[in-house]
Amino acid sequence: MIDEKDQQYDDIVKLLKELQQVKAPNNFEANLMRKINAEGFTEEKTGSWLSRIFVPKRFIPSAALAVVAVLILFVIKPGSTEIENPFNTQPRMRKDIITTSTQLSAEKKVDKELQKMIEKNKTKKSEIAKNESQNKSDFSSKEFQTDKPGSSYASQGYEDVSTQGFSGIYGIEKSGLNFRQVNLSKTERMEINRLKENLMRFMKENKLK
Amino acid sequence: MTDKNLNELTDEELILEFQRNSTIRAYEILVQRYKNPLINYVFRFLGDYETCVDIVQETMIKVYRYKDSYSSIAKFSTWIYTIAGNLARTEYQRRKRRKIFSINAYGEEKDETYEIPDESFNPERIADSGIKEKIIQDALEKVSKAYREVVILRDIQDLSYEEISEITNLPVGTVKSRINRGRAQLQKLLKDIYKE
Repeated sequence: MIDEKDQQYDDIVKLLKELQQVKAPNNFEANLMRKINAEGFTEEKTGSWLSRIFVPKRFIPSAALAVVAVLILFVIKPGSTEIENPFNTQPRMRKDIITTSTQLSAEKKVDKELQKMIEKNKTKKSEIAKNESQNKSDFSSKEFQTDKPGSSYASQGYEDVSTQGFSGIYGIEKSGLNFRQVNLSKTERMEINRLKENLMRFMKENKLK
Repeated sequence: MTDKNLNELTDEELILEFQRNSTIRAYEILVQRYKNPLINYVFRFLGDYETCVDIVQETMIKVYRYKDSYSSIAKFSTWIYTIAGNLARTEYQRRKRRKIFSINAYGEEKDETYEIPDESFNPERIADSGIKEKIIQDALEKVSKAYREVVILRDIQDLSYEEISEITNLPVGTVKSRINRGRAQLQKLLKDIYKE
């Protein structure tokens, strides 16, 4: 059908084919090569995309400007006019050091008390031993076997310690101390509890001996 | 490779030589081969010689610059015609926009009536063959753009339907029907000439 149509338009096709061929000007190639050389169309550089992102020279001034802006904003702080004189200002109090020093002083106090208590305990033991030696001669062997007043005294005394606490026995009371109420932290409390336990263990061991 | 050897190569072999070894002579031979057909094609499409020379030069520069984008699957002729066709179409659109704008501006600013020159058939002008050509060219320019392009490629450039289909990126059937519609429009416009 299209071929039939081709025949239908034979005249017009003939007319078009008779048209003169338009030719390029004589200087076409010279002009073309001049344009190519002038515009410097060399081989297209095929660098990696990384180098294309970071290397382009056109980004260098803007990057430098951005860095300077950041410095001005965050380092120099242009808004602040007060300049602190380091020679006129008081040194800052370091809370961590204070707390450790208080901790240490508390520990020392407890240690001293312990030492005192141990000494007292020793003196009491020696007194008891003296009393026992004196009583040995007074009491009969039967009585000694059944009553054991020295041992009962000792056991009673230590029972009191366990039930009444040190303050009750050794007369340590808050009113007698240069007491200052300190809000202890969790770790401090744990440390004190540990010391208390050590003390209790120490006393029990002494009791066994 | 010698100049004689290069002249014997096909278009595809020449562009391959230019791609691989950047042989300028191969490129120059391609320019020599295609400058006139492309000038003819673009001139018949636009009707302005100076613009058409610029467009063909631009086409050649694109071939030089983007030589690596040519793949040997397609024919070199279809590739170069596609480039030239795209550039010509862009130029046509640009000129059309400019023409509309200038007409509007003229009418608005000066508040005057304006006349678009009537280029219809005038028997006295047919005497000269040059004038006859001018009439045919004018008639071609009056054919709608989509039909004009395929008519030129088929009846003036003597390309096959398949080649035209590749250049215009249209199915062969569409190409054939467009060619016939274009011819029909031309027939109407030129009936007084070809009946002589």
